[in-house]
Parts: sequence; C-alpha cells; structure tokens
Amino acid sequence: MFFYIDPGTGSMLFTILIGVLGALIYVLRNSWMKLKVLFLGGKSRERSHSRTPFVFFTDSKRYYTIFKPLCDEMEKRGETVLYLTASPDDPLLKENYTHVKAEFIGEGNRAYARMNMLQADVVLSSTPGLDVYQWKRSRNVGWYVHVLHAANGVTCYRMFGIDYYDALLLSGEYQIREVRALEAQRHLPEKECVLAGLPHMDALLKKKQERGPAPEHETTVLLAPSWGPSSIFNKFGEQMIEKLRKTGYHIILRPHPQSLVSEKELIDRLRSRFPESEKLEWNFDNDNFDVLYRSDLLISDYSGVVFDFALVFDRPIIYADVSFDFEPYDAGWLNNEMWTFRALPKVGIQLTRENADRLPELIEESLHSRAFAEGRREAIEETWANQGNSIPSIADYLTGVRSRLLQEGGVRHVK
Amino acid sequence: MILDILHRLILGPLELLFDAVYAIGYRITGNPGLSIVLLSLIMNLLMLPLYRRADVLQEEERLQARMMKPGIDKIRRAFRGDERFMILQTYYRQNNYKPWYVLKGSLSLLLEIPFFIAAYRYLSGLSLLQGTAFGPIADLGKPDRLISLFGTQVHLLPILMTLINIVSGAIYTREMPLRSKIQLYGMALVFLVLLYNSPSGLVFYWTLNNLFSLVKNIILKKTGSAEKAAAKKAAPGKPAGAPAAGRQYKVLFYSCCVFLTILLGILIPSAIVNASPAEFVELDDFRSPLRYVLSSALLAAGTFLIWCVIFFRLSSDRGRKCFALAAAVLSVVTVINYMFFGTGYGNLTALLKYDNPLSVQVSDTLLNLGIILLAACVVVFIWKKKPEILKAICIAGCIGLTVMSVSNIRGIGASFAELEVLTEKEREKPSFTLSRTGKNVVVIMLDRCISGFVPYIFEENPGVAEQFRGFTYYPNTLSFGRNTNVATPSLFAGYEYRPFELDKRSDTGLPEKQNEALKVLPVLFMENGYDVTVCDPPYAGYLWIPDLGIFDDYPSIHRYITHGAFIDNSEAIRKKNRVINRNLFCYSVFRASPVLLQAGLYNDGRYNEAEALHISDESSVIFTEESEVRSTGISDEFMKAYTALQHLPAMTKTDTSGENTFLILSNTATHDVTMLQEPAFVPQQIVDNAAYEAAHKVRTSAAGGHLELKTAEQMEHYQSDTAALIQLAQWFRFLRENGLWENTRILVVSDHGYEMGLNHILTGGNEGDNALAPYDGVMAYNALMMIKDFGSGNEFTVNNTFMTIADMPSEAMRGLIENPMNPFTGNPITEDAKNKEEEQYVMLTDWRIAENHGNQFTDPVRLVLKNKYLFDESNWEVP
Repeated sequence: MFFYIDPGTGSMLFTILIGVLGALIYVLRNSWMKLKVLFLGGKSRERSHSRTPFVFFTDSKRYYTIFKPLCDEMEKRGETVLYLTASPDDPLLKENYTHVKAEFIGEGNRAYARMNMLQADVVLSSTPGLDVYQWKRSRNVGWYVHVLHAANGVTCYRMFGIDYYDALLLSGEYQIREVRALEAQRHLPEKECVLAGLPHMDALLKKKQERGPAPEHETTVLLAPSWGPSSIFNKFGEQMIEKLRKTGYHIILRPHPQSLVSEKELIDRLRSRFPESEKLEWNFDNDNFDVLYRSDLLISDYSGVVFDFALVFDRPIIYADVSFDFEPYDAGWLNNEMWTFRALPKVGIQLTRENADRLPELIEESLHSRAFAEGRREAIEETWANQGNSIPSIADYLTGVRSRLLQEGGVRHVK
Repeated sequence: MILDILHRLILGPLELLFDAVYAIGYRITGNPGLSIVLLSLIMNLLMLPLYRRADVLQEEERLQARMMKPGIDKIRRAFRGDERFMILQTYYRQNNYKPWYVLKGSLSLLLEIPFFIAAYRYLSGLSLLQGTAFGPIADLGKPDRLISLFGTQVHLLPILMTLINIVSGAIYTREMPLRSKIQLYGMALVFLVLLYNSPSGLVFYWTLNNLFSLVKNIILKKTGSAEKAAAKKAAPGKPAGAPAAGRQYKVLFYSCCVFLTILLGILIPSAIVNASPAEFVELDDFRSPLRYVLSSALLAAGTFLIWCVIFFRLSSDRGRKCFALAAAVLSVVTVINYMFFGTGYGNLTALLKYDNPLSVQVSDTLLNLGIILLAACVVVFIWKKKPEILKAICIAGCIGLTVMSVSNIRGIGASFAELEVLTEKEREKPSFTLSRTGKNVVVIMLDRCISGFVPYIFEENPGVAEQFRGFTYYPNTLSFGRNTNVATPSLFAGYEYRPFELDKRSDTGLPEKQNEALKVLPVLFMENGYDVTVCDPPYAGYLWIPDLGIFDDYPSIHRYITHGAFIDNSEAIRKKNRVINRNLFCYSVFRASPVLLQAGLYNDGRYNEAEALHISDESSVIFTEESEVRSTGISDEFMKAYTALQHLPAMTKTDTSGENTFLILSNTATHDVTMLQEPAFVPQQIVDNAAYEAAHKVRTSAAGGHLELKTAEQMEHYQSDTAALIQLAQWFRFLRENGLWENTRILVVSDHGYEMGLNHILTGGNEGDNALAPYDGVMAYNALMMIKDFGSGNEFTVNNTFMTIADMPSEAMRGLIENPMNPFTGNPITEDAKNKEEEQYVMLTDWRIAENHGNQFTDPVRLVLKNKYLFDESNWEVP
C-alpha cells in the first residue's frame, strides 16, 4: 500500500514520526506522573464532603514561625482552621486548640494526593510550585493564598513557583512589580497582591523584643552556611574555620540541617578536625533564634538567615561569594537584578576568594561600619512592609476573602 | 478483527463517498472516464477547505514553535528528570501548547493518507473501468500504453503525472532549502515507479489530483495567504492555539454527531433487521444478522464521529458555529423525515429493495420541504434564544434512540436464537449409513440416464469401467413410459404399478399412488429391520421439490433432499453480505433524507453503487450453449444434482453394529444436462470441446459399436451421463477402500431414456426406419439397469436377459426378504408378470404433473412390445 503525497508534504513524514513519538512519550509520562501520585499517595484521599473554611498547608515544620502565630490568631478569632502538615513531628500537632485542627497528612506524594482532592474555601501555604509539581490545584478549593517565608522576594522561587496561586501575601512594592512583570510575560491573569508583611520575621522580632537586649558576652561570630557544592563549607571549608579560630572571637558553627543528611561525611570530617572547645561551638538547634540572639556577626551564603539576622537583629553580616545560577528560578525570566542582590551590598561585606585571607579584618570592619547600619534600615523599608503586624493582617485578609467568596457563590474558576 | 473495525471506521465512509460520487457522476455522464474527472473535482473541492486550514495550522505551529524555543532551551538547560518534564508541561500550558501540535504541521499529509488509500483501493478494484476506453486510452483498467518506442510500450499518463508533480513541487518549494527540493523530486520519482504499472483509470485520477494541487499551489504562492493568516493569529504577545470561544459549540456538535450515529447507524438498521430477522440469515451462513447492524454502526460512527469531527475541529470559530447549527438542524430533520415520510414505499426485501419501484408524490415532497423549513426555523430560533435547550434535547434524544435501539437489538438477538433452534434440522446435511458387517442395499436412480451410452462411456473412460467391475449390465431393459411420472411408480414398486395397472385403480389419485409406490421398498426394508434412508424420492407429493412429509408415518426412515444441498452458494451469500453491509447504512441515509432526494439516493435499490449500475439484477451468467462444442455459464440445476453425487463419499457414514441398511437415492444430473469440458467431463464457465471432439469424432464400444455425437443435445446428455458415472465410480472406489463393497448390493437404474436421434446405436438400423418414430425412438423406452450383488466378483458382465424397470424392487430384495408383500396392497412383489405376459404395455401421456394429476393419466397411448427384446423394431406394435 502506498499513497499520494502532496508536494511539500514529503518531508513531513519524518516530522510525523517525531511528533507521534513525542506525543506518545508525553502522554505516557503524564499518566505515569498521575499514577505515581495516585498510588504513592495511597488511601489518604479526601473523603469528607464538608468544605473546610480555612486550610493551612505546610510541607515542613520549619515554617512553624509562620503558622504557629497564625493558628493562635485564628483560634483567638474563633475561625475554623484545618492545619495540614507533611511533617510527622510538627509541634503544632500537639497544640490544644478548639477551632484549629492539626493533622499530619503523610509525606511527599501522599500529602499531595490529599491536597489535590482537598475541599476548602481558602488554602494558605508557603509552599511554591502549586499546579507545577505534583501538588495540583484541587477543583474544590476556592482560593489559594501564598505567604512568604523569607524576606528575599518572590523571584527566587523555582520557575513558575507562584504562578497558580490566586493571591500573594507580600512584603514589598518591588515584589508586586516583579509579580506583574512575570504575569504579563506569561499571559497570566493578575493575582491579588497584598502587602501583609513577613510573619516569620515578625515572630523573630517579637521574640527578640520579649527577650530584651542581649546580655553582656564576648564577641561571637556565627558561621551558618547553606548546603550544596557551592556552599561555604564546600568552597572555603577548613581554611576558613582555621582563620576564624585565629581571630580569637567566640565561634559558632551551624551547618544547614540538610548538610547533616546530604553532606554527612564533610560535616563529620570538620567536626573531628575542629572539636568543640571554649572558643568553638557546634550548633544543631532546631530553632535558630537562640544562636542568632547571642551572635554579633553572621557569615553565610544566600539563605534566608542572612536577612533574618541583618534585619531582625540589626547586626552585620558577611555574605559569601558564591556564583548564583538564575536559570532555574523565576528571576531568570526577568532582566533586572534580584532584589536580594541589590540589597546585600548595602547590608554587609561580600566574602570572595580574593579577600578571604583578610577575613579577620573584614569582621572588624563589619562590626563597626555605620554605612551598613544605614543600609539595613533601607532594606527593612523595602522588603518588610507592615512590620510587626503581619499576623492580624493575614487573618483579616483570609476571613475577608472567604466572605467575599461566599458572596460570589463559592469556587473561583481556575484559569 | 481490530484492523477490520478500524478500516470500516476510517476508510469505510470514504470508500462509500468515493463510490457514491463516482456512481452519481456515472449516472450523469454515462462515461467512466468523465466520471473520474468529476470524482477528482468533487473530492478535491471537498478537501480544499481542509487543506487550507491545515496549511494555516502548519504555519501557525511553525511560528509558535519558533516563539517558544528560547524558553524551552532555558528550561532544558536548567532542569533534569521529572522536574524538567513538569516545568516544560507548565511552560506549554502557559503558551497554550500541546506537544502533539507538532502534528499540526503534518495534518495535510495525515488527512490525505486515508483519502488516497480509499481512492487507490476503490479505483484499482473498479470493474466498471475494465475494458473501458476513454479518449486515447484504450482500457482504463490497464496501463495506458500510449507511446510505442522501439517496439516497447511506454505509459504516458504516469510520466505526465510526474511532470505535473515536479512543476507543482518546484513552485511549492521555491523558497525552501535544497533538502526539501530533493526530497520532493525523489518522492515524485518514487510515485512514478510505484504507479507506473497501475491501471490507467487510477493514474488518470492521480494526475488530475496533481493538476489540482498545481493550481492550488500557484494560487497560494501568489496570495501567500496561509502565512498571513497564521501570522495574524500567532502574533507575539498573544498565545496561539485553540481559542476558547469555539468550545461552547463543541458539546452541541458532538452530541448531535452521537445522535446521528445512533439514528442512522443503529436505530434504523436494527429496525429493518428486526422487522424480519429470518430474511437476513442464510442457512448456509448461519450468523447473527446483528453483524449487519454493527457494520452500519461502524460506518455511521466513522462518518459522524470521525470525519465530521475532523472537519469540525479543523474549522475556524465561525465554521464551528455553522457546523454546530447545521448538525442540530440535521438531527431534527432526519428524525422527522424518518418518522413521518417515506413510510409507504411498500415491502422491503433483505437486499434492501422495495418490491415495487419507488413512487414519490409531489405533494409529499412539498409538504416535507415545508416541514423541514419550519423545523429549521424552530431550531435556529431556539439556538438564538436558549442554546442550552438544544443541547438538552439532543442528549435526551440520544438516550431515547439508544433505548429504542437496544430494544431492537434484543429483538433481533431473541429471533436469531429462536431461528437457531428451528432450523437446526434443516441445516443438517444429508447423510446415510452403510454397514461394514451387515448387508447394504443401495438403489441409485439416475433420471433419464441413457443405457445405450454406457458401453461407449466405459470405453472412453477406462477408470470408470474399472470401478464398475462386479456389475452386471442389462442393456435390454424396458421402461413403461418415457417420463418420470409414468415410469417411476413401477420402478420403485414393481409390476403392480405399471401405468395401465395404475389407471385400473381409478378410485385413487395419481399423487397418492405415486407416494405409495415411493414408500413400498423403504417400508418393506424398514419392516425387515433395515436402517432405511430415502433421498430425493421423485415427485413425492407430486411436487417438483419432493415432499418428504410422505414418510412422516415412519419416523425411523431417514429422508433428505440432496438436490442443491451441497451447492456452493457462497458467491450469492457473499454478494448478499456485501450488499447489506454497504446498503443498510445507505438505506438509513435515504430514509432520513428529505423526500426530494430520496429517489436519487435509493437509485432503484442500487444506492449509487457504481458496480451495481452496469450489472443486471439477476446475477451471474446463465448457461448458454453457443454450438455443440462450446458454451458459457454453468447450469444451476445441473450443479445442484451433480454436487450431490460429488458428495456421496462425504454423505456415507460407516457402521459396524451389524445392522443391515437400505438406501434409495435419485439424482437428476443426467436429466438436467449441461455441456461439460472434456476429457474430464467437469462443469466450467467456458466450455470449449472443439479440439477434443475433432479428435474423438467417432466413439466406439467394446462390442464394436460406433457413436457419433452431432448435436448439442446429444453432447450434453453423453457428457452429463459420463459425469454422473464418474462420480459413482469415485464413490465405488471409496466403498472399496472402506470395506463396504463386498457386502453391498448396488442397483444403478434409470426411470426412462430419451429420444435424441441416436436410436441407431441401439437397433443397428437407420434412424429414419424407426417404427416408433412418431412416438420417439426406442432409446426413450430403454432404461438403464446395472446390478452389483453381494460378493459379485471382479468382472463386468453384460446380460441381454429381458428386464424391465419394474424388476428393480424384487432384484433389490432378492434373497434378503422372502416372499415380499406390498405393505399397502397386500400383493406379492414378483417378476411373474414379465415372465408370464407375452406383451408389455408402454404408456405415453402428458409428463407435466401440474396438469396430469387426476386419478388416471390423461390421454394415454399404448405401445406394445413383444418378444421381450427392445431393439428389433418389428417387436414394437404402435397404434
């Protein structure tokens, strides 16, 4: 059997083959993904038909500082909240609320399976990647709200991370501009953006204020890097600790929790080389408040802790020079520099391979610079809106949105 | 199976379309060649909007892919594994892109494939083109051979086609890279090679399509409209792809398609079949008629759920809107047409033809048009006011139709199950039992078999003679009449049933006396503990097709009709299958169409099937003799009898229980004679014996006789008798091989002979001297009698003892049933009459049982034979 081929379509035979194969692979892969969530998700699918007014979802107990005060606030207001966590040992599971119910919904795909079938009016989460990764929008959820868990903006999420939320609780005007730019580029409808502030920073600030000024102590330098091949431990490692020891300050080494899992060998090696002593201390606290509270200077690469420390405790920082690959992040789609990179030079000194030898001098300089103190104030203005007031604002927003939804007749149509 | 279904779904509707368009073209032009031009024009015009859309989509896809490439590259660089996939998925979603959009670019080719497979299959198999000239082409069914170069034939059309192809491709690829050009010209050459030896009708169609494509490409290149249209749509900053506006028509359109599929593909066909399921079942092809419904359902699904949907999906928003509205109007109108019009066309046969030609009233046509217009207005009105109502009506309609269809289908299923039980007996093939250990008596009556031919047949066919060793041949055998009605009673029941004896029992009707005669031997043998089988008792019930009911009082007697039981009617069944499979859906379309179009669609029951247009209804070529040595066609009647003889071995079941058996079987292969191909003496579509007959002008017998066959009638009798004896010989071989020979007594007899101007081979005199001349010659009264007794040895003997056909019963029972008495009259069955009476009376009377069925034979004429010898004319006394 053969057939007539119209001029010009001959070369398409090949295209067809590729297309068919591609489509086939796509379909197979897509169904494989769905199956994975379905099966690995197990039985934890939503069975109840009652719609919960508010659901808070967190993929980790790390965001305790956001959700604890929020739950307290909602409890106080008598609003019914279902707190769903993917951490089995989330401390909120042990809280005794009347209106807030905390539930562990399994880890990974199991949690997403539950979330994908969720029935709720409003869902609040700090987890990015909604409707991009395994966590899909449930068709029975009215409104998805994202809350920031760090001060460093919205473009440092992995690509498309917040695209499918309905509303974003932000902490700076520059963030709104970034969101709008991405929306325009991707032909997405405008999300509701509210400058509600940063619960996490508020919590730290509140705690700090409650503690009052730090007691008299010897000058303490905290080295709290992130993890991965370009992190400080991996790049500067032993040399840096050696230099720090020689400064004579009190040194605290606090590896990223993930390092203990992914880079155990490295950490073990460093620990045996630099055992604890009067002047050197390893810290593995769950909550970093105490260690931040008693430190005078922080050396770190780009984890949220840099801004926590600089903005909440108003103390100097030294940030490491690690080359940053923007491509996987939303920032990679925008031409202007990330806010974080604009703000950092204002609040601290950058540690590079060239100036690494002068680390002790850098520490001295940082501890006494007035310019950095001024820079910190500017950064707070830019990225910490509604300071100290985020929790009531968020609670107000959530209840307001819900009553608006109920008036409009419930579920908002997914774009 | 799955391939068949896919074929029917995808190609079925196209092939039907090709056929109908071609047939209508043929009805208009009456010229197979011009019809191809029309077919090409209409198919291309139909495809044109599809191609235009496909071109635009292709361009659109190209632009979009170009726009998305940087993003895709960025994602590919940044991510790996599952995450890359999920991020890409999201990126595609944001750009309204699906990975299979790549196929958009190949749509025009993808669409063409089924169209051209269908065209190829259709045109290369179309018998209408065979031997048809068109312009300079001598035969559209063969390559054209238009140019003769150095003694070799060159086909011009494929070359012309390739030239057009190359020019068209040159225009199309003018701004494309060299690779595309090479590919294109390569393709053109490949097609030249592939199609070079194809029928010129097909190549002609191809050439016309290429011409069309050339014109299309010239116009497209001039206007460049595809690029423009696509560029407009895929303008940057605006995501390309299917816009949401068309979606609201989707549900309505799809539900209308489902509605039409159920109505035309399932409901109407199942209603037709359910009206008389038995008519759609063949005894020889016992399958559920639901397969016809399935077939039409697939055709309908292919039409509405595949092709209509493809057209719909390829349409612009405006087009979709029109499609949806049209589908809604169509759905309503088809139901109205089917339910309220065309219901009075009369009785429909299983071949979907009305008994009488379609008569369409003008008033009906007008009324129908008015109602259609009104319905369309109502639909449009609802569409404007509340389109959801249309959707709801349509979906409800689907459910309603489904319920009715299911009811029909269940009805058909139930009827078929009933039929299966009822016809179980009828579908049983004839068979009989012969015992290996007991005794078997077999009587074979060959109607009108000419005794005088036997010596010549044996001489010409030594293999046949070989199998007849052990038989005693009685040439001097008298029949008491020259026709079956007067001869068979005495043949089957002895002297008491000679014609003049029968007439003495004037209080009883001839039919009763015939039935009685037919029962004598079977009943006697049955009463003596034999397992009895009767096949084709001649004139039982005085009917042409014997009424086996005459044996109803004797349930242990097996009886069958072998005549026609083994005929291969698969051709007829195939035709019926094909016609119903094609036309059941066409019938639905015809019934659901406006009255104005119905006559055209019905097309006198041919439903615009091109093949059916030039073939007469009464199918197949009937037997005609062209000379004494040539004929065309095969005689159905001969085949019905001949195939029964062929199946004798197959009918034979052997038994070792020691039970004796009796079989009496008649066959008319020697009566319904036909011309057969020599020297094998087999039926053939075209028989040509000229050479053989020239070489065998004079046939001889062992006794030194000469036989010259001069007329077709003589030839056919001789050949058919030979064929019958060949089949008997083959069965005898089977009996020998299966240990059934020695313990079997076989009587091969005929009821009478036939006058055909060959009396001299019997009398030795001249044909004209025959004293019997006014009443036919002696050959008409000379019956065949050959008897093989138990353990009869290895010799073929000729015995000139005077015999009559009435000796058969006593010969059959000799030594097995002592002093046999006729169970109906109580008289002994003997050969005394022949021995005691000096004169034998032969009767001439009307042979037609339809007329001659009183208590006595009409206008009997008595011929007298004396001296117990047939072949001396002085022994005959005529009135």
